[in-house]
Amino acid sequence: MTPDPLLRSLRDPASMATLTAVDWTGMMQRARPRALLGKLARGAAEAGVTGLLPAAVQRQFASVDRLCAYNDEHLKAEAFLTLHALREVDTPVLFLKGAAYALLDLKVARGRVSSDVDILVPRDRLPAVESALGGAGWLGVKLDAYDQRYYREWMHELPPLQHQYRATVMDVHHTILPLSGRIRPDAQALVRDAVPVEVTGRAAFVLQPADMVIHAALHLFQDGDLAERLRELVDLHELVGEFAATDTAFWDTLAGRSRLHQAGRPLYYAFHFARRLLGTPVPDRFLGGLSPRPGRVALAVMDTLVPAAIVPSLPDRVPPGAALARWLLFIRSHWLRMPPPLLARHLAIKAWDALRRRLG
Amino acid sequence: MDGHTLRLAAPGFLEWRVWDDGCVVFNAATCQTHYLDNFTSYLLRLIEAAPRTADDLTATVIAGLGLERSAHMDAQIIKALRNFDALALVVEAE
Amino acid sequence: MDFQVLSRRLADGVQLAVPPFVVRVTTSLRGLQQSFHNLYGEFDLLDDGEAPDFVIRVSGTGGPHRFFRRQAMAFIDTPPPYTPLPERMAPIMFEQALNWCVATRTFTHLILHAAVVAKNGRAVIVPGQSGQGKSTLCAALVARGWRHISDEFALMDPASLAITAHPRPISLKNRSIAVVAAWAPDMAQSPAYEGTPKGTIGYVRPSRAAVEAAPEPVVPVAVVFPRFDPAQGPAFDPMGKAAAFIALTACSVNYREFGQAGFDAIGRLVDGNPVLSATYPDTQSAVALLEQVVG
Repeated sequence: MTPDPLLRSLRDPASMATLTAVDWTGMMQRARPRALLGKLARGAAEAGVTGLLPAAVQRQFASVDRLCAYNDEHLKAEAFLTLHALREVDTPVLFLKGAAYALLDLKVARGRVSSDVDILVPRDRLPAVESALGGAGWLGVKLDAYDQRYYREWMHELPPLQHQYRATVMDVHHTILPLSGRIRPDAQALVRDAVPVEVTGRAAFVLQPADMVIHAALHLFQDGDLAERLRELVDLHELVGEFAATDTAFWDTLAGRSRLHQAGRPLYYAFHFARRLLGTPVPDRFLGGLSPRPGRVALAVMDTLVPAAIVPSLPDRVPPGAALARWLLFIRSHWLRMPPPLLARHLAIKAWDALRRRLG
Repeated sequence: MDGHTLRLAAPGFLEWRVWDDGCVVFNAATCQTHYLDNFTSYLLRLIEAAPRTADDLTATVIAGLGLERSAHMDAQIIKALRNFDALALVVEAE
Repeated sequence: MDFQVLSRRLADGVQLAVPPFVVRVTTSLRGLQQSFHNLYGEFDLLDDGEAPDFVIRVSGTGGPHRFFRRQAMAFIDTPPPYTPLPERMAPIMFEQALNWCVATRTFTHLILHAAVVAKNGRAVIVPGQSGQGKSTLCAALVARGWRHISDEFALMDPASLAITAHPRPISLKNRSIAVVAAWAPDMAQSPAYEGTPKGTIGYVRPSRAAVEAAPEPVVPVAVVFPRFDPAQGPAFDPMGKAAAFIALTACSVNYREFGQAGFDAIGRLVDGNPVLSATYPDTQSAVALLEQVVG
């Protein structure tokens, strides 16, 4: 059993009843900035221990519950508004991540506080989609010419859009990983095998369950620096918990889709660490069958770095080991997103921009 | 928009508060609250009661309020319908 | 409490009951400790076994500035949206940080940017952005025996419309510091902090009575939008209900997050209570108008 109260509370919410005021002071400060407070509140409610917690904790949990419930309504509303804006564009619209979880009323949607909307459309529909969204008030955030080009050439999504009145941020994807990286998920299969979902009377799609899990794993282990992103691992833990409970063939399907999308390595990491940190019940047969898998040395390095980096620290007390682990994983994430010559050019241009701004 | 039949985009999702100086409506489908002046709210309530075209709407307004048709009224109605569309309150019926 | 004891506890971090919340405050800045001793003198310190809602640490900032112009910054668990202030303004920094925590993290109550005062249990909501006179009016009424419920946020239960008291130091700006001092010479005020981003700021110390009554919620009987105008009034002007609805949602900091429940709550508030715009040329007539409202 882990001594860290945050990890322990996520694994075993009933144990929150035994925490001291000092534990709570530290844990709430670590959980809130990393969007984990809603997960703790939901865990306490499901374990039936909310009434045993300190009064201040109960108040903060009640507040975050309201915020999460609003977030759920908000994502459904934004999905409806998105489809209204795109009603004259001939394209399938897939909702990803939080919006998809909310539309499907998945367990993972409860206790989430992130409010951005992510959609995926076939790449050849991007111009029509971008123009229709622009007409409905979703405007591109200001980027310089280099960043614009970087997004258009190398990324898996348009530069972020923000609604001019509602301030909602939207990412419009055409695939689920940057085009510059080594792993190329099958974007056509994502759309072809998507699952229909109803949005207040309108038809849309979400990724099929296995693709949804792969997307979450890729986002965390292939496209991100992992720093303090425990919430995303908890999302994965809850997603597979629900999918595996309702579909006995789920792990086999996931193994098959991982070959299609070349996602063996990031999936291995995701479930290796979900199992280790959160106790996710992952069949050995599934982990053993993934291909490609991380090598022994790589896994040993990641075993040292990931737990130190991914668990949120107290804001003013980041342990040196965690800081180093986060820095190394930050470099790793850039390496994975772009081949080295491109990476060098990108970092050089970024550095030049920073220098220019400083010299002003 | 002119020749098409308009209906509520999310029927059953509107919650009204009506007062002398205007009214507010909460659209649960979009989580948005809108303030409407009396004339505009009358138009939306007509569409809520039954889908109709802009011409049909104008005719109903003239008959209901005992007014003469004018270019100004047509412009006001078209403007209101554009706003309803932008706020995802109404759509063209299929 | 003895200042030496308070000072030591503040340096280590202390749990302060600021109803309905518990705030853990840590500061070694002498000026802020003195200000706490004054402005929060009637509030209860809790022992460390009480978990806090919010954690705020106020300290000097590092960097080159510190050698010639000492600055204070309030730290919470996320990067806050405000910038450091000169160290002598640390009490303002703290109030700002706590306001930010309350306004952005409280969803148990529908929050209106408003002062709330009550006479004989009949509460009036006085909404308004800063500078429109709500705090001045609040201080003036409290000086005449009204209950000090809040000078900044009305924490309203969306179902019952009952308001939970959140008494804090009443923040006065610029001219109103002298106005309140003249109106109520006995009311304890902090030193005036000059040259802040909002001009000169001073605070009124909440009374023990306000703190002790805090657990008791109140039900509003009227909403009064204040308008100070030296050339007009005193006069009441009933507001249209739709106009009142819009004005109240505009001064709510979390209306959106309550969805339909917020829409219903504001609708019932304006349907069930008179909503007035009060115009007055001076404190005397403002107080008289409010006395009339609770009649």
